Amino acid sequence: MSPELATILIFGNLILFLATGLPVAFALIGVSLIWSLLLQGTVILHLLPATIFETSTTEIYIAAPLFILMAVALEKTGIGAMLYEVIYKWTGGVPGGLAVGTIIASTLVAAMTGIGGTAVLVLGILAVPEMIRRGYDVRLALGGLPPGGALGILIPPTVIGVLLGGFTGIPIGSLFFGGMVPGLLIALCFCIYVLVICARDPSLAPPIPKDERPTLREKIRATGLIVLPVGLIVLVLGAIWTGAATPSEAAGIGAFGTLVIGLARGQLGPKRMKEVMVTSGQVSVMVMTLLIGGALFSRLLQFSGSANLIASYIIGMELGVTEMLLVFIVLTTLLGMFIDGAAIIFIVSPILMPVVQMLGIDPVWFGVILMISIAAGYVTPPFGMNLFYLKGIVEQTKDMPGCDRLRGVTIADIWAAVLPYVVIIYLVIGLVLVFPELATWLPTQLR
Amino acid sequence: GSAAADDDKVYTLRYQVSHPSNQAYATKNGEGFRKLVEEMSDGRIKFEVYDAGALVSVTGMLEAVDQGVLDISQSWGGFYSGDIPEADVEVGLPLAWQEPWEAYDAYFNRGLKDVIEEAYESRFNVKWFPAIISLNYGIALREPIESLEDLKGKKIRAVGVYGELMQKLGASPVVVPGAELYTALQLGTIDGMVYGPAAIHEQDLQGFVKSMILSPNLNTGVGHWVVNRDTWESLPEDLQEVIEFAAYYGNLAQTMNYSAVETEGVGTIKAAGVTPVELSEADRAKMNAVALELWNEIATRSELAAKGVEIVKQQQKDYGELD
Amino acid sequence: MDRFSQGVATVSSFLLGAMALVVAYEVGSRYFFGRPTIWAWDVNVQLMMAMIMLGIADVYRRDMHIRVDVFTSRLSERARAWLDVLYAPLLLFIAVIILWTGWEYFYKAFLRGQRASTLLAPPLWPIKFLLPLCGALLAVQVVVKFFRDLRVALGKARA
Ligand code: NA
Ligand code: NA
Repeated sequence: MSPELATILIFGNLILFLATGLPVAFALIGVSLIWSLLLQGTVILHLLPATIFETSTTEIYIAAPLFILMAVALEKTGIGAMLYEVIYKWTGGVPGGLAVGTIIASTLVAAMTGIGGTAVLVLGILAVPEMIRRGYDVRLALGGLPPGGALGILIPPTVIGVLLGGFTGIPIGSLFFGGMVPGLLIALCFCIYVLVICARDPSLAPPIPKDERPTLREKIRATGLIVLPVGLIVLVLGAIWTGAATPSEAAGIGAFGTLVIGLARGQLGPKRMKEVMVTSGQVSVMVMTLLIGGALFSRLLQFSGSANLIASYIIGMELGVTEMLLVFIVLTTLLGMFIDGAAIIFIVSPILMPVVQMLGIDPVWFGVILMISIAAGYVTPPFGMNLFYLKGIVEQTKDMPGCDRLRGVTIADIWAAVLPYVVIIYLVIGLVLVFPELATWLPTQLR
Repeated sequence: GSAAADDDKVYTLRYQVSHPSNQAYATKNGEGFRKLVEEMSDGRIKFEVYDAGALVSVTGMLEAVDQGVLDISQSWGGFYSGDIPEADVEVGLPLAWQEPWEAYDAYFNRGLKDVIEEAYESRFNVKWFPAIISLNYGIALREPIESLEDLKGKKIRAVGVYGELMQKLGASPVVVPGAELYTALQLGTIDGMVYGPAAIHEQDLQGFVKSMILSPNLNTGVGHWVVNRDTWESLPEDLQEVIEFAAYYGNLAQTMNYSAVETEGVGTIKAAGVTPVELSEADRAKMNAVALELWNEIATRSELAAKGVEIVKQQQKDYGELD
Repeated sequence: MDRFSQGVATVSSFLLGAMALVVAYEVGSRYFFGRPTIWAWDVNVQLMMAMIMLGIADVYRRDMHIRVDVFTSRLSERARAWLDVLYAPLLLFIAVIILWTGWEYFYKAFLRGQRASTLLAPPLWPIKFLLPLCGALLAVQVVVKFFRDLRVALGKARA
């Protein structure tokens, strides 16, 4: 079978499986196994156990379930609700205040943990029920999470930046600082967008009526209640930022600390403890199965010849710099629908680097554009890992008290919710294309 | 006849390498080897090259070759010390070989090749070849240090037997994946690492390194090629000879190229402000003593390991380096 | 069968709590006593692997793996059940491949006495055994769910 035909059939098969409602993880694993068998015979099936084993025992992935445990424990102990109550008391006068707070928080968590999915899962469990209970529009409550989480790839420390540097020889420091400006710019645009739409239509995010607004004393008293958990969160993020602990260690301390606080305050009986463990176990398994499927699919694209085929097509197009970068963006975004950013680097960097050198494109500029495109791929409809994670969160939270409005939320609702943010990301990619300085200025200043 | 038909057959081999494609181990040893094989076989052997981690993770490469998922892998035995206890001898016992010709002498003139070959080929469905490189394997640190004493309590990233060496020198060996070295050094999650200058430069790490123990060389370093046994036996004899030649003799040219790159690496990191640490005679003697202790421990791990250690000891005695 | 699957998953989800404990101990031991453990990493890798491998079948049973439901949400309950019935052979194929290749992966590690390449160097066959076990658990759940879906598809039961 020619690689052209194989590539078309592989993607066609995957889209068929996804559209007919086969769970995403099994669609990825199923397509990989079927086409491995057809193209290479039974020998290559032995990639499956190796891929499961490697994915489950990778340091950066071990952090994710521990962060999920921390989030679920914060939620089930009621500490999460208290956190949001305090944010609400302080920002309740501003329409959309909680949504902006959530976007900032998810950008921060994503930035520190360096993995796109973690922030969606952590903040999703905490923030979505709180906003829904306070009458926030469903789309407003959901929309900012996946894109905010995806920014973790851009804002240092970023595992994607390190891998990209390692594979291409682009200085990692330049990628770190190069991604920071566009990343913060996107986050800022998200916040402005939310504030503008909420100011125009306050019913999307009802502010606290004037006569019910808490006094300063009430605000401060409420804040006192959350000093301990907030201290813990600051400790976790700070430990990663300063290098005192690796992300997985910090996540473990955060989860452990939250459980201890919950136990000490009597908010975690045996029954609730079991709930915490079972829920976070289920979410973790769901996430890891997706990652395993993505890893397997990326390997299929390698040995099916699809990756090389795409490379030779791109080189054969003989395009100018801007057109070539646009092709890169499309390619990366498409791959980003199904597979993790780390796997995209394996696939695209050997394809693209020769072209970058041939055309004399500034490698830092190229690297930053690649990183933003990977982030965009996580959230661009119809498919995207962060969209899937959010769907998983909706399934987990829809049965919580006061969250009835989440029942019946389909992936199509999630598409509509993220769309404005996705547009913002592409606008910023356009800006970086037109003004390369957005990516290259800070690195040159700091070198 | 049938021989002529065989002559036209093109064998395409899945080849994965353990190091990122911009590192000298991939460019010098790997590309050099493949070019030689493709040329000498008149194009009858072709390689489908996969970057580090593309088909399987580095630690899974040996199993993948054994299964036939990969036809050939180019890697570093230190990743497989849990599979092959003799891998600690294979990569080079700590402080044994300062220069690549010493490794060559041990492997090809003194019988170490047969020992390590047996270790791999009796346990796995593979054919094994040594890949001698030319590291200046040293201890790079975020802080300036003056003596071995300063290593005490430091968290040092080191793989396999070199982790044990760090432990014996009073440091805490830690395992950090190669991809996370940059952040770990930047943030101070680790205080240093056992590494080579070219690799430091290739990964843009020199900015975080203040000092480095470059002498004595911890080891010149020996990697390997491992070929799936069934793939190997499916090749006609003349093509097997091509691979053998490229692995044994063609590799020597790559070793010279590696020497050059590594020495340039030393120059680059010195220019970036890394101070070489001058160890006292007492420190050097202590390091040698600690290393010898490790050699003896490694010798107890299997009969073949004992055989390998004995070969290296005899070699060092013949050189007048060991009593 | 359901209770067995749920029981396995409940026990395995507590492994996550154990991971948090191990990490907290490791970091505490390193920062307060300057003595990093050599076992924390190896233990956590094993816990993580066990949690995932023992959990996949139960998450499947609960139908919690994420789907793209944009088209299927418009279908009737019976039509959706028919789709699940049609996909059962594929899922069984996946489960059987995990079982078969996982068994070989485990069995070779067992025969060779494969250990992790870490300082602690624990044997790897116990966690590799989780792979065929995961395949077997999943296969059983696929069969159980197939008959449940079939009843719904034929209109003999509600989902
Ligand atoms: Na980040
Ligand atoms: Na997408």
